[in-house]
Parts: sequence; structure tokens; C-alpha cells
Amino acid sequence: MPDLDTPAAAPRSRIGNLVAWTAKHERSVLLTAVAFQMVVLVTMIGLRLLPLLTGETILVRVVPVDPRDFFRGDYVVLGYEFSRTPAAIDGLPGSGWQQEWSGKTVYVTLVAEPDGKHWRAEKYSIYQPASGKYLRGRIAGHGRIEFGIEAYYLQEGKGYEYENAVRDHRLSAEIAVTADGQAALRGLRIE
Amino acid sequence: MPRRLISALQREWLDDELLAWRAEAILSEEQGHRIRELYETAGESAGRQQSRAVFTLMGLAGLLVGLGVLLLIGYNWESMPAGLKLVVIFGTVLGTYATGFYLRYTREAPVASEVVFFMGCLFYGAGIWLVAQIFHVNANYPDGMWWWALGVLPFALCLNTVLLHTLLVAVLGIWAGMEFFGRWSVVPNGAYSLFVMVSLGLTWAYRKNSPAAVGLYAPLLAWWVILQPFAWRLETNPIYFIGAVGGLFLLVGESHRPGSRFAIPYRLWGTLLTGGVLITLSFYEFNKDLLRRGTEPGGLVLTLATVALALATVAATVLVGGRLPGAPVPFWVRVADLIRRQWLPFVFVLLMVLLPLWQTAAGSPDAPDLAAFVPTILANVVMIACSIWLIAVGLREDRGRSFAAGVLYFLLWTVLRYVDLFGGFGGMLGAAFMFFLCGATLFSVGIYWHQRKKVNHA
Repeated sequence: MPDLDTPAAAPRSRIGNLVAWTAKHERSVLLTAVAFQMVVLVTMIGLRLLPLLTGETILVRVVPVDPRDFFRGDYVVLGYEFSRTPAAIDGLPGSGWQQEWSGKTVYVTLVAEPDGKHWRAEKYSIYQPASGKYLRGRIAGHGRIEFGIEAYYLQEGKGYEYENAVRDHRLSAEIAVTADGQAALRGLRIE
Repeated sequence: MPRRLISALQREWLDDELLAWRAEAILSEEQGHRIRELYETAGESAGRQQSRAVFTLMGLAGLLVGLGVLLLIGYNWESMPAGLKLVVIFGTVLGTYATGFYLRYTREAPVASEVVFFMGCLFYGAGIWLVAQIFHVNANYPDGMWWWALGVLPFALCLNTVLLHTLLVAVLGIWAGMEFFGRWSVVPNGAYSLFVMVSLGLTWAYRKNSPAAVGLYAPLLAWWVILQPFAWRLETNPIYFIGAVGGLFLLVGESHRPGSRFAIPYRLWGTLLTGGVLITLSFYEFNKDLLRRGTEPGGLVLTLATVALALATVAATVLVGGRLPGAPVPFWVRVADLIRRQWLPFVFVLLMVLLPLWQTAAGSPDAPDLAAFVPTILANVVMIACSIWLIAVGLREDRGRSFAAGVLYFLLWTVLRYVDLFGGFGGMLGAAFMFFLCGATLFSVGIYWHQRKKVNHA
């Protein structure tokens, strides 16, 4: 009769050997695990610091709402006019939102607005522009383009002033953009 | 050699029996003493229970502190600069682990160190979310959970406690629930790496002889399998699939040695899943509604998946059995033996394969009402079989909960059918007939069991 339950009868698999090996080298494994956790945290920070340290800061107009995240507290969801998928994207088949577009990388070329402060989208393409200022995004399943700059975390209860600002069209986002279009949110500005 | 664990009641019984055996000259004083030496003393037993209580309290305290840290982070002080927040995160995580290493390897206090490591893992998870908060990271949300689980896994496998497995299972369960409904639109979000992590955790549980850890991973595994149809966007009613998963859990549970405590988690979750599905399927109106939906697009795919899962489970069970010490037995003989001994879990799985096929064959918007009788009658028959099986398992393994569950399930079936028969079909006479039938069934089971006992003890 198959017997799965005694330690002696446990499957002598590679997984089993791995578990036995970890028990034998407990201290080293625990130290490696701590190091791994530190690498995860440092990598998270590094990936985000790169555009903030090396990128150029631009200002774009936003449209927020005010939800709450259990792990990260209050935050403002930021929408941009260039977050909406346009009717046509250079290099993608069809016109209007297509399901097969989802997951594709898109480059949004930016041009300065007449006020000289804000920037807006000019062209959408799957081909990386050779020059100029542009953002690199990914088309999400629900038909919006995500750039990784769609959430801004706030101290609890501080979201209301941003809500009021956006209602009056006075809210803009400061975004750091690297030369290859990677973006990071630097802050929000009430104008 | 460590002494065997024994409860206060068992010790009292053993002491009384040893006295009686000595009085009847069955055992000498020396032999009685040697038997008693095999088991832990009352002091050791009390100490063990006290340690367990202290450990539980410390674990709970660690969890509460961790939750407090999470909420503290969630508040997100504007006045604290990002750099200082990062120093606090790394300082807290590294400081906690340093304390854990000090307690474990310098002070040789393994239990306290495990609680501290548990807190360190909670702080590491909080650190992930705080870094995401500081830098306004808006990446795929479940990824944070996955990296958290991956960081906890080595601690769970290295340390000698279920505390970290509890954290790992909780984080993986949340991750799986989130992952299934996000990320890609083309590739199904199946949270596939969960299976690898659960395999490692289960291997640890068997090697450490810890049914409690198996009890943690079994529902997680069930949760993961049941979520798969949603990940694969199979537009169909998953009720048969859920029932089949329950049947497969029973099959795995019954593959353990008779009386094994490791079988209990599988049996518990298998019974809950199968029993729950059978209750729903035992209603005529429900089956009529299902049949009127007609053939569902994902129905056949799920049925094939059920068959594949059943074959994989049988193969895995038989292969593991084949690697155990003893005389080699051919593969097909082992398969036949498995089916012979575990016919009821197989009947469950078979039912969950046949019913969707019946729905495909007989279902349509204008399906005749009579067609719904087939699944209704089958589900009711299997419900009764399930209750009898649970009673039999309880009697066979001397487990009161299994026996009570079987009796309660039978009573539940009686009440449900009373409602049906009294209100819908047979009126008072129908209900009376049903009660006579139930009484006769229980009498028959009792007499059968009594006869079998007599044969066994003859």
C-alpha cells in the first residue's frame, strides 16, 4: 500500500535532497536568505532611482481619484491624456482598440505645450524614436497605456487637496524621464 | 533517543494498566519501568505544552507587531524624508535578523530566534511595500507578494517551526488570488511557481513529521487548483471541477498508511469540497437550471483537465508507493490495488467527469425536466455513500470527528430531502417514506459493521 507519511518513506526526490541540504547548511542558507531579501529591496530602489537621478524632469497634466491600498496606505491614481489608447498606433494593425494590442510596448513622443511648462503627447508608435523626448509604456488589457507613473502615495487624509486641485484643473505631475523613455514620478504640483 | 510524546489521559491509562499487569505478574517491575521510560514524564509533557503556549503567544505577538508596522508604514509621514524611511526599513529588517542570529547561535535559544526570524520576514514584506510607497512604484501589484513569499521560503525550509510556513502559505494564498485576475491577457495567469513552493513546503512537512504543516499546504493547493479555470478564462460553471478536486484530495488522503495523521488535512478539505458540491447537486432545481444552460464552452476542457489531474494523481501516488522499501510490485498491479481500496474517491471523481458529459449530451434551453433526474439521483446516492464512508473511516481509524461528520452529513441529507419531499414531491407520505428509508439504511450499516467486526475477530 502506498504510504506517504513516515519521514523514512518520504519521496527521495531532488526536492527532498534540497530540503535536507538546507537543513545541514542552516546558518549559510539563512544568511543567504537575508542577503537575498536585501537584494530584492535594493533592486526595487535602484530601478526607481535610475530615472530620478539621471532623467530630465517634465510637467504633465493629470486626472486623479483617491483610493486606499491596504499595504501602502492612501494614494492618488493618476490618469494622463496620453494614457488613453489612440485610434491608431504606428506599427500596430487595425484602428480603434484591438485586443491583440495588449501587452505591446508603445513609445509616446512628447512635445512642449504653448505655455512652455507642460508636455503633451504627439505621436504613438511601437518603434523607439531616434531622438526627442518620449515615454515608454505598455498597453494594458483594459485598453490603457501604463507607464509605471499611475500612483502617488500620500500621508493618510492628505488626498483631498489633490482632489480639489484636479477638479480645478490645477494639478500636474513632475516626471523624471530617461533618454530611453523610462519614467518615474517625482512629485505632484498644485498650480 | 527522544522519548515518545504522550497526553495526560494516555499516561494515566498507561500507569493504571502497568500497575494491573504487574499485579497479574504479566510484567516485572523492571519491564514496567522500561516501558514507562519510553514515554515523556509528566514534567516533560507539561514543559512541552508550556513551551508551545509561550511559542504561540510569542508568534501572535510577532504577528501583531508586524501588522502594526504595516499600518505605520501605510500612514506615510510626509515629514519623514525618503532617505530616513529607507534607513528605518533596512535598520529594522537587518536589526531583527541580527537579533535572530544572536539568539539562535550565541544564546542557543532556537524557539525565541524563530519568533524573531518570523518578525524579520514580516518586516521584509513591509519593507517591499514601503519602498513601493516611497518611490510610487505602480508595477504589477501581486509581484510584491511573490517576492515576499520567495524571501520567506528559505526561512520556512530551514527553521524547525510551522510559524514561517503559516506566513508563507498566507502570502502565497493572497498572491495566487491576486495573480489570477491580473497581468497578461494572452497567457493565463496561473501562478505556476506556487506549485513548486508548495512542493518544497510539503516535502519539509513530511520530513519533519509535521501534519500541522501539511494542514497548511493542503488548502493552499486546493485553492490554487480551483482557481485555475478562472485563470484560463474557461467560461463555464466550475462546480464539477471543484467536486473533482475534492475527490482527488480524498484519494491522496487515503493513500496514506491507515490511521496516519497526515491523511486528515486531505480528508478534511476533500470532504468539505466534495460534500459541499454534492449538496448543491442534490437539488433537482439546480440540475434543471444547469441543463437549461446547455453545453458550456469550457465544460469539455474542464472535464479533460479533471481526467488528466486524476491520472496524474493516481500515477504520482502509485509511483511514490513504488519507491518505498519492500518487495517490488508491478505498476499496474499497484494501480488496480489503489482503485480497489479507494473506490469511493474514484466514484466521486468519476461522477464529476460524467455529470458535465451528461450536461453536454442532454443539456439545451428546452431540455426535458426528466433529464435533471439523472444527476439529482446520482448526487443523492453519492451523498449517502459519502456519509457512510465517513462513518466507516471514523470506526476503522477510531476517529470521533470523522464518525460524527458522517452522521451529521447523513442527517443533513435527511433534512434537505425532507424539505424537498415534504414541500415539492411526495407531501407528508413522501417524507414519512424517506424517514423509514433513512432509518433502515442506518440499521443496515450498523448490522453490517457488527457482522464485519465479528468476522474480523473470529
